[in-house]
Amino acid sequence: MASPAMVTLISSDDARFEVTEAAATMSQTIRHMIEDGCTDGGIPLPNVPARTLAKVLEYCNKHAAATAAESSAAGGAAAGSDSGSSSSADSAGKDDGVDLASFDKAFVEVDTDTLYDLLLAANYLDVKTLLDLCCQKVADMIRGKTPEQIRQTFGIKNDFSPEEEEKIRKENQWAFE
Amino acid sequence: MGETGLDWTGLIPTKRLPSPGGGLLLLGRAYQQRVYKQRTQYHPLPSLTRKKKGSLLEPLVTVPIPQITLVKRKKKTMSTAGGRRPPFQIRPAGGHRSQWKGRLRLRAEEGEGQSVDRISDLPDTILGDIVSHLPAKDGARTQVLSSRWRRIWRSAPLNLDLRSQPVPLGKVHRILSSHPGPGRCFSTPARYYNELHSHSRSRSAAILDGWLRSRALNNLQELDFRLDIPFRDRRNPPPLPASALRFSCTLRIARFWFCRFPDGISIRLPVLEELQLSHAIISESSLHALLAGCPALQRLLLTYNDGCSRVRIASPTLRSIDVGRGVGDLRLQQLIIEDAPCLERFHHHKAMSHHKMDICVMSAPKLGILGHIYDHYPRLEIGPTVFQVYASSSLLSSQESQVSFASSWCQPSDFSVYLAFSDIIRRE
Repeated sequence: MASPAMVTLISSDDARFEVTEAAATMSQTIRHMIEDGCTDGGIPLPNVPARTLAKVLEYCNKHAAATAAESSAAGGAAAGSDSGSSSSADSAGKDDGVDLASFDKAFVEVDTDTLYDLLLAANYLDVKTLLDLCCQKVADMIRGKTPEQIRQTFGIKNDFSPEEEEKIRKENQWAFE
Repeated sequence: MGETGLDWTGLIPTKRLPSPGGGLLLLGRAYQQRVYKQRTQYHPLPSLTRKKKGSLLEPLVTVPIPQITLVKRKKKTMSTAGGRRPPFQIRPAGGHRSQWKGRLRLRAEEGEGQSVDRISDLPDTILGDIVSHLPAKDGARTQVLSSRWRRIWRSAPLNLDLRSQPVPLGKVHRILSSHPGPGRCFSTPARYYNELHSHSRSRSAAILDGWLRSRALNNLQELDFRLDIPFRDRRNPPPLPASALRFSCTLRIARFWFCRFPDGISIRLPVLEELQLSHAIISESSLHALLAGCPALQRLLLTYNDGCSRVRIASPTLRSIDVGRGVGDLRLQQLIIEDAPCLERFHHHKAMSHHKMDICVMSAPKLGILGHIYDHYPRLEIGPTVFQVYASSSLLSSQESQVSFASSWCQPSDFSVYLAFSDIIRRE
């Protein structure tokens, strides 16, 4: 089987990442760049620092490999050999569903700063599933908490006067009961 | 008190922060106002004046930033202050003191360019995405967090899951009217049938219709229409309101449980990925019309329905099928998978009756797992191969083929057998 097509991505701090096209095109932004033929000398991603890009690519590699393994049943498709850090976890076979879910769960077990970086990168790169995953993670951190607890968790400063706050609570009384 | 000599106002950054809603809100408006009253020489930051009319509209005066000794000084001040607490002691309601101290320390160490509250710096679209992943109640509560969050919930698609987050039925209308739409997810409340429908059918139908027609649900993506009907009434479920089908262009996931579909249905659901019909009454022609109108369908569940004894499936996108037989006169008796090039998973649910059902797979080259097969499953055809299913121990024998199973194993103590078919299919 022919080796998969590779593309080079360049982070905002000039680190270069070589990844399979299958992994890279999980990002719609990169997919469009490839379609437009803007890949010569690498694809610059001025909004994504290397640290975040490495993390995003870890996700893309894993998911692209799982998709490849799924579509070609057990055979072939050796995707997922990136230059920086190799996530050669594309074990042939059918461990996808459960495996992928636990990978996702572990993937977002990070500090909030990393999570925000991932959100921004997933939004910019337009990786829908990653964006959903990170949004769900933050939503899970908010769910069931009182506004005070949420402010505390995220360091949000309440800049409402007591009257303003009371007004909003009144308008949406059903949510505060 | 001249001894402390610390100008507390210096805590406020001298420059405007680059990011909106950033750390300049660190000390909060309530705090600002109190400080302002105590120290008239204090001048607020421009971005705060933007939100406040009148009194605080004064030009920014550059004041020096005190050095990192901030926290120490504060302690000193407290011990020697003799009752006068520095304005700095005023904390935002609810913020834990140690955390607050930590924040200030962090702030002083990091300099003025960094914000501690990074989440509020995320763009509106991302905050909206986050909020629309929350149930309505949690989502609406984020409006009160700060002015930055005030508009987010209303501008993000509504997620109103009344099954997992029940609210009194009388309040559903208020929730729906407090959001301008569009809708992301709506599920019917579990108590609907018992609390409304069983009392007055026409009134409850009108209420349900009103919910579904509200603008908050425009362009709905996920509809979970599940009426929890007690067993005695299940043979005669209420009709599906026409308003439930008004989202056909945008629905990605649709679940219809315990309802009666209109006959002669003609609908197109261009982006629907998941369809569930369970305990529903739907005629064969309506079901086929429904399936034909779903060009992007990936997951299909047909369990315990009535009105349709034979289903033929041909879909280029379908990846997973779940079936289970019902108990009615027109329960599912034959399932024919004519052509499903992407079908990977077929799962048979626990049967509700001992009536027989034939499953015929004509072309499903990727079919990997066939779920539970019960001993009263008489015939199973895969391509030219027909399998006869017998009772527990020698569960399967191939009638017309020498092909052996890639793997098959019995689950202990029941009649089912679990099969992986990928090898057989590939050999053919």
